[in-house]
Amino acid sequence: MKIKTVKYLTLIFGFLYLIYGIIESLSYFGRETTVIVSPTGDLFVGFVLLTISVIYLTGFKKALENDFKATSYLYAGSILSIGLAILALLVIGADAIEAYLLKSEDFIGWTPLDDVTSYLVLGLLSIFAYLSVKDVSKKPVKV
Amino acid sequence: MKEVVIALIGNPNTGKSTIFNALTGLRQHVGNWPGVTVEKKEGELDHKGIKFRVVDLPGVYGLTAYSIDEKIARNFIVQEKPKVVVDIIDASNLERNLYLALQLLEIGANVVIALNKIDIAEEKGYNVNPEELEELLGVPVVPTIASKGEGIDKLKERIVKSLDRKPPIVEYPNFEPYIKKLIKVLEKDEKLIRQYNLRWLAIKLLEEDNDVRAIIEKSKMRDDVLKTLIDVVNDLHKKYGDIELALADERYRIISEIAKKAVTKKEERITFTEMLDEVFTHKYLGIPVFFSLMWMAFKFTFDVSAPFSDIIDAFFGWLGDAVGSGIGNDALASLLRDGIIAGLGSVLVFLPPIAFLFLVFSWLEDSGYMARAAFVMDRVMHRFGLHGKSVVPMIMGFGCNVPAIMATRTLEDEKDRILTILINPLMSCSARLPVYALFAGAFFMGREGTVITSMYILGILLALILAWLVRRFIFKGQPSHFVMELPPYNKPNWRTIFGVTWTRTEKFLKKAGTIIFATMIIVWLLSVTGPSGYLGSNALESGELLAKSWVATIGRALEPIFKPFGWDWKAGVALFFGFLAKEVVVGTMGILYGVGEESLPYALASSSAFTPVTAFAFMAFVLIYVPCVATIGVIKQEAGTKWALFALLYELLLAYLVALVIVLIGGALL
Ligand SMILES: Nc1nc2c(ncn2[C@@H]2O[C@H](COP(=O)(O)OP(=O)(O)OP(=O)(O)O)[C@@H](O)[C@H]2O)c(=O)[nH]1
Ligand SMILES: [Mg+2]
Repeated sequence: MKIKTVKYLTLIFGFLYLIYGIIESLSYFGRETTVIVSPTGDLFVGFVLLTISVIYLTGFKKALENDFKATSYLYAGSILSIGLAILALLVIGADAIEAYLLKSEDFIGWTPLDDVTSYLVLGLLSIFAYLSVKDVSKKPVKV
Repeated sequence: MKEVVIALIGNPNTGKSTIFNALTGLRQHVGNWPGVTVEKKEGELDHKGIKFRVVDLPGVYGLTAYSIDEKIARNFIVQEKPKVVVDIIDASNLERNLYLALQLLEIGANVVIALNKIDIAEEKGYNVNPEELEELLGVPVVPTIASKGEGIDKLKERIVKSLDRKPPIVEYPNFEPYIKKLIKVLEKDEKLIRQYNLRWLAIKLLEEDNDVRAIIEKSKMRDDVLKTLIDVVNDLHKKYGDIELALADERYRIISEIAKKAVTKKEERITFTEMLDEVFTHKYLGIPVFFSLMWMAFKFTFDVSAPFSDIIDAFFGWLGDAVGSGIGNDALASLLRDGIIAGLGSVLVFLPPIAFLFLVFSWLEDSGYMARAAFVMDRVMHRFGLHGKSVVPMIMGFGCNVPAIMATRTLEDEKDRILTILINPLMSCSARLPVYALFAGAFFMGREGTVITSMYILGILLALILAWLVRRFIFKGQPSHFVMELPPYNKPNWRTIFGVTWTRTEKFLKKAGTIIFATMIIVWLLSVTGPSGYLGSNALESGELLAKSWVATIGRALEPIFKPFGWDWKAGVALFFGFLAKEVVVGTMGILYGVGEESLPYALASSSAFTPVTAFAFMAFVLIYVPCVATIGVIKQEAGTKWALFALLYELLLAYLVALVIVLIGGALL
């Protein structure tokens, strides 16, 4: 892969996570902004998204310096992002059991869309980032 | 048929327990960080009509007997003289692992080498040649990939074939004449000849080993040996300076020659482990990544396990009704419904979150991340006077304090170790989770996650503060230095992960079936009887009747103590029995409030016994006050009675203080 690809990917994902990290953090303090998906209002979500954003952006900085280590940040960032998305999917699964199988009172009228969060969407998008680095150990980046 | 003893030994995290499990079919704890096994564990194996007793020893880098785990390993080999010692060597780290192999040969052990993790060596670009290694060392070498079960049969075969082998002798050219001179004197004592390998005694005498020195003190040749030793040491000292160092150099020289011949390095590659570590152990990013992963772990624990708790909840609700209406005898029906089902049910609904917590922690362990967590937190720990290695026991404490306290055995320095033991009960173990979940659900609807997380953080903060204080006033000085090697990241080994999860969950179930079950019956009995005799099952529904029971008597005796917090006597009783196991706090409340577990949160919320502030104080109190009996027992075993008492007292005091502060501040704010 080329260092240029690393540059673009880390920049794009770094920004996406930054934006949603800020939205989530603000929503905890009462400023709800909905961009495509509505925020969860959980402070920790904001924290995690911002952490991932910083990882990607550090990778971007290294890529600008033509440092081959930039791929490490793309790789680690995408792994964390995907992990978060898997967690979100598991939560949807659990809530679906509550709503459809157990018919719990708290879940009347629940639809899977209620659980679609920023980190689920971003995590699924991060699969692209992951696919681009997954073979880097065998085919090192050219700088 | 006589049992043949064989021992497994090796550097930490080389896969000893994995091989032990493969050989014996047992399920020993396997974790991807150094220092998981701290005691020796035993199992059996039948092969070719021979019955083996297999002993899994703690991982050690050498056999110098500086720390408890090294001592255990060495004493076992020297005293029990296992027929075969299987040295498990990490092929991706050959040179360091061979150091131990040489020391084993020095003792005169009949060594068989399992060359494990060849897959990782391969990934790193190394090619290790087992035949060459066998040739150079003079002992059987079997390549294995233990986590996939590869090479295990071959290993068994070679063990059987090696039973009566005579182990080779390693020669240290620079020291040979001196060693021989010492042996000459030593062999005049037949007792020594019978019990020990004289060559080993001689080498250890040169290294000024205390334990071996003690052996010589008891020998009838004591004076002669010591005289020769002084001569020899003087000579060597003039030639090489520090003898221990010179011997170590000699070993390394031999090792590097062996490695040069047996290992070929292919190309340089960047591994996934290196890529992940660039970020996960990054100077600044490491800590936020750690907190992110912890949050994900807890989110998984609570949110994903919720439906399973609801199912158990519904089941016990149904069972209670069915039993209550189906049995005529009042006392019996009440025992089953109000005592066992209500009490045990309120504890068992927390089986899913507890099992999920164990699952995610086993996965983090197995993946290799936990070792990074220790590494990353080391700097923070150091500031509070703790050792980096203290992190592993602390994180294990979130599961259960008992194994966590045993895990402190990897700390070499006694002060570091005792300090780590003392603060461990403040790590919120899984038994406390039910209490938090109950109270957070009852008084902090919608903010459960934050409230529960705050308990964990409170525990950590108190532990750090306490460590700092103890370091400042009792154990003066600096924590010793941290060396921990980071294992490679693993793809999930589901067999290991589920195995570990199950062993831990099983312990919780056993506890529920024994100590919690028994306590529930006692609490029920004391609730439906009083100084005036049997009160009838109505006691659990009518406050007036219950006031005449034995529990009320206990509760009222305790009431003055808890007065400042505004808790009622039922809380006091719950805390009293909670000393046995903290889950009991929830179970006792379930009985005393005369409701099944499903309505317990509502019953609590509407009882006016707690306000959110006093409920929060209660949660904090449960976090801190006396660890359970088992934990006190293990502190006594690992650190002595004095420290066990100290832990007990400081925790009671601290719990009282913290609860008081919460009530006072909360009262002032609201
Ligand atoms: N890739 C790979 N991993 C292995 C192999 N053998 C063991 N492991 C993994 O290595 C880690 C350590 O295994 P353990 O069996 O706990 O090691 P141990 O030597 O008992 O460790 P301590 O008790 O800490 O000294 C686990 O995550 C195993 O799954 C192997 O051949 N290949
Ligand atoms: Mg082990």
